[in-house]
Amino acid sequence: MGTVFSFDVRGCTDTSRTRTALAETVAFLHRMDQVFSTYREDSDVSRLARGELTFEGCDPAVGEVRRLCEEAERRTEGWFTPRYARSGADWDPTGLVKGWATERAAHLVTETAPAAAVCVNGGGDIQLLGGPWRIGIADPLVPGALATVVEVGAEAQSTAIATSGPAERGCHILDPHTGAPPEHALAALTVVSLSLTDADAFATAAYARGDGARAWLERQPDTEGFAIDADGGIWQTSGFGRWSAASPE
Amino acid sequence: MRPLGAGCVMRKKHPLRRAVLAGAGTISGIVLLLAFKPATDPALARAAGPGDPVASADVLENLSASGESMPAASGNALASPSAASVTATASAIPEASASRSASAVPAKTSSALPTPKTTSATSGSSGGSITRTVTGATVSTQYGPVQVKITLNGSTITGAMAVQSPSSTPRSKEISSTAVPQLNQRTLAAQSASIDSVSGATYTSAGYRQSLQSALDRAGV
Repeated sequence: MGTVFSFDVRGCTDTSRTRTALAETVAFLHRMDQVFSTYREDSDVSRLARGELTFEGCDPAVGEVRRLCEEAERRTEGWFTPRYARSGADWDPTGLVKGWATERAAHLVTETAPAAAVCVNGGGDIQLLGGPWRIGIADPLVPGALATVVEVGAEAQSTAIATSGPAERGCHILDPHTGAPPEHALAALTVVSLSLTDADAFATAAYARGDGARAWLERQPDTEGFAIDADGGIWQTSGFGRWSAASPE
Repeated sequence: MRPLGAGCVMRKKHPLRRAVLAGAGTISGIVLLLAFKPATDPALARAAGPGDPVASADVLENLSASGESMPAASGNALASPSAASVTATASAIPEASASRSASAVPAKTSSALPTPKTTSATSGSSGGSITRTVTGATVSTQYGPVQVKITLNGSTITGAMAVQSPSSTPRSKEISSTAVPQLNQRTLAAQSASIDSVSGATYTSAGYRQSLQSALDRAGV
């Protein structure tokens, strides 16, 4: 299995230039996959884990992501960490790198070719530049239904939406303090922020933290959260309402 | 840029978008990086286990665009000047021009390569609307391949069904029998809500969504 990136570029005045921009962006995503994938034995991250590379010997993007991981760890009070070893790796940035790559992809598209609005969906985590957009938040309890809709106005410059949860796969997020799945019963947690790098790491950390994440999310600037528990109960941070449109039928 | 037909169906909630679209092209594309871990949260994650295949394919790409640079051979549905959708993204771009596989793709890719199909296209008798069906790419999931077909009248989705859904195990069958009909409804619900994209951490439905997204991309809605 893997990740789908879906692009929607609106208001591009030069279509062929936008196609070039998309091709370059796709090439960037492939490069980052080759650098960061823990499913590739020859990726920088895999070689790092085997001790065949040092951080200094890695692609420069690794250094950037490493700094972002450290910042995310600090801002999430340790609930996000790249050092929580999965399959023996000492450094696993995957909880942040997809959001980071998706955010970078959105900017790459618009930097190369002017556009009115861009939506890049990287496996369910979304970076928007411009607007307007209507983004459905999948209902984790009812496959096929939407729990709510995030409405982004035409005036918006940058909006990011990331959702974490065990979904149908069973829990794959671990409490970094215990190494076990969280004991809470949240079925999914969505974070809306300005940057998908932040939103992805924050959604991961907040899901691991459970209901305790609500107060923490409230304290984060330009960040809102929306959570659904296993019984269908919903909580959201106080400012989430400005994003949510009326629920679909 | 194709002219806006008289039967043009626009999303009512986006007056600005309408203005933008009238003067500019729209491009959408879909890229599948199968080696990227699917989970959103692997930093705190454990591997999903043996059921989480590294990939049956490495890379699947389908970039499509509307506008003057479109290949002419994009199917009879889109050749009509009265086709309803302005965001049309070439449902039937010849694969050679629109779907590119990365050079590193292993031979296994063939199972998941998209074969854009516009299986039917008939002109409506009034209003310039066109009924057509568009089939999305086959997407591999943990439970088996998923492929979605949508039916459109103009740019309105009037039906969605899975032409392939997992049924190789009792569990897969169970998931398919309950989830797929609900997913079909969701397609229609999303349509009525004018959803541009969906955020979520679902898994089987991710395969459906991938295929659905590719069908939407091809249909240009």
